[in-house]
Amino acid sequence: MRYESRASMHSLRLEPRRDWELLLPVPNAYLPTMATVLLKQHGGRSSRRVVEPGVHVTEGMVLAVPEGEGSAYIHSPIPGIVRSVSTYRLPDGGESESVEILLAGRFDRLGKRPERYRWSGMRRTDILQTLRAKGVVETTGKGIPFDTLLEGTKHGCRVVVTALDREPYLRTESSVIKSRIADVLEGISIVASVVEAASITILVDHEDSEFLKESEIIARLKTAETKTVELVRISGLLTANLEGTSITGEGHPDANTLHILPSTLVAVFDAIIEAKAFIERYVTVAGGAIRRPAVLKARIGTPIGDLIEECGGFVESPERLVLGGPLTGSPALNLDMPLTKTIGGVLALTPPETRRGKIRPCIRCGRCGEFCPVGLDPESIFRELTGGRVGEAVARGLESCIACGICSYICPSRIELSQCLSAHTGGRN
Amino acid sequence: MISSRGVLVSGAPFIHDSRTMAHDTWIVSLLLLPVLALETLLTGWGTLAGALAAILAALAADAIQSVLRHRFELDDGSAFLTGLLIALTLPPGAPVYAPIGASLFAILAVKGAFGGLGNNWMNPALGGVAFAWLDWGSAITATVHERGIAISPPFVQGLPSLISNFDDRLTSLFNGLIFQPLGARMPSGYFATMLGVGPGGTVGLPVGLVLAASAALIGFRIIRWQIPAAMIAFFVGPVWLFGGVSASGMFAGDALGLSLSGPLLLVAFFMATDPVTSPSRTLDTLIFGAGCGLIAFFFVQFGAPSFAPLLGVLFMNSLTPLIEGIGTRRAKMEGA
Repeated sequence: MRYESRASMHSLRLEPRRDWELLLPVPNAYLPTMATVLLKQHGGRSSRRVVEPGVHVTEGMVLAVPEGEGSAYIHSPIPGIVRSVSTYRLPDGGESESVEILLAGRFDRLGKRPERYRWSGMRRTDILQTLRAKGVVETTGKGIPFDTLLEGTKHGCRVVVTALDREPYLRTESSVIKSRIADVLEGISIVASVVEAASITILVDHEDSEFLKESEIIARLKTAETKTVELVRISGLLTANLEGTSITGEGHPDANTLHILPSTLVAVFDAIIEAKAFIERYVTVAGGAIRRPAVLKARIGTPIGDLIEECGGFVESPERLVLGGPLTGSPALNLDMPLTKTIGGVLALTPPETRRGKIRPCIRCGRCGEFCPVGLDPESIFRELTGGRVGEAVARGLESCIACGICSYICPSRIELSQCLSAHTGGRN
Repeated sequence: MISSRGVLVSGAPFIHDSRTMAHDTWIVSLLLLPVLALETLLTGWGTLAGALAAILAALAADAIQSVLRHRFELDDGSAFLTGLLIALTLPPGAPVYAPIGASLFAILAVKGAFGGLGNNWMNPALGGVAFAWLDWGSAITATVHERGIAISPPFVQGLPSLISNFDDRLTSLFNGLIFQPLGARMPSGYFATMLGVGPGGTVGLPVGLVLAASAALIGFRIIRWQIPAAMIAFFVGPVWLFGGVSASGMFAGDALGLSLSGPLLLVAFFMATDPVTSPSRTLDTLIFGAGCGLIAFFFVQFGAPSFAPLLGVLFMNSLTPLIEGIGTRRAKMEGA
């Protein structure tokens, strides 16, 4: 990721849509009777399957092992029998092998007291190895294996924890920070020790900040190496440039900064402290078409239809089904699509919410450029791309596009700027 | 839309801002309707008839274009707005073929010839009005002079004198409360002018309502203030400095009277600000606006046509790509 120094001064305030009550602690979703586990839930290559149909699997058992760069371990989210192996169509047009597991047998985890391991004696390489073995990846965006991300981080860097939801509708990170603050802090400590962080910044929504006692957090996280710990309260939902991050909010905006989300930190906690594989995650189920919006803790591989069912089903038939956030997510093709490690939201949106409209000619109002968080002029890049002049588009900064979706969101003529730009960058950034 | 890889990408974002281009265009038209209403009350049915003729001609022309292009675009409101702007910018009392001809030229030639909305190099309404003035200028001025600016009989008898009385009272109230204690005196007539009643009982465009609509445009962030501000400053400023030189020396031009002229305000706020034909960087918009004002001033000074502001904007519209090009180069150099 590359960020221009002349990033836009404008920021866009979007309605957060907190018009429903958050249940705390976050309820566990029902286990799916059939889990569909994709073998490509991360940015790199697909993982290699190590189970055959008919095999009995237990909770957390390895289904697939990493093969090649950016690939990660995949574990069974439920105990059961591997019923079939098939090819799954991904929303981006690609394909992934999938393992279908029929729920059966004994639960190893559910209802048992978790183990607690001390990590202070662990070596850095052991921590990285454990994160890899437990299949921990970024919980949003590309889903880069977290050990790879930490290894690529310079020592003495700045760690930024984005403990807020960057897109409307989503309340995933907010509920993680509210329900598991101690575990999140422990996760930050682990990460900070691995990368020998010089400073830690926690960005938190003003609404949630009463949950966080600043002095306690500072006392808890400050070490000989980490000299600065700060809590930054942000009011309202900002999608534009926030502390140099894009709204997708993880990874490296530069070599000296590491951005992490609380969802990832609790996965780190589960892996290191409780020796659990990454088989469940927090997910917001919301949107105007959902009867009782909620944040649920659900197993990877649960069909989104099951999650929606658990939230009371549809009030009306949705116009669009979305996996992830409304600005950067991907379209869900049907209700059988399974939850993956990087899906933080399942949204069912109604026409008054999507506000789709006729695509009209560009009137050069300049709003796309005004709100672009990385200071591009999306309209001129779009014009070059549609004219087939990719070289010119690159010269105008195409490669800096972070696919945040703001230009398409704001365009009064509903031109699909962001879609066009990210189709050409291939979502690389 | 279809990407270069040939797959359907109807991806993120899944939500959109509430503002659409059509929404904004209809708001502009709605803001101008009170102006037309008061002008009709003052000047009579003829004004309304002229406006309807202009709007219907614009819509008909746009409908023809829609059929030719196989794309229905009447609902975007731009043709309606073009017709309305043409009707308000031409003086009340102009022969009815002037607004009709202007609308047809605006839509068919200015907007249509280059590929429809978004591709025109000048604002359609601006082009239409300029076309009407250049073709039938003498006819327009002749009819207007012949009939007086007021088209008799006025729609509402006694409305002009009502407004004049209101002006007198308000002026004396202001003088008593504010200006006399300061040792100044405000001449009467400003409030009446705002409501469309000029000196000597002539009636015309209520500039106060135009100003209110302009302020609303800025308030709704449909236009930005830079272009009209620069244009008015660089038109009225030089007029104030040099406009009265021949009669009573420097600093004696009729600045206030000029800045309150209806056509100037309509051109500055509603036509020069057309995003399609004006630059977008802040500095560029200031240069553009200043250019519009200065050129308009030269036309007034040395040719004195009543449509000088139109010509100023028309000229600068043709320079927009140049201004933007220089701006881009400047931005690149600053960025490097």
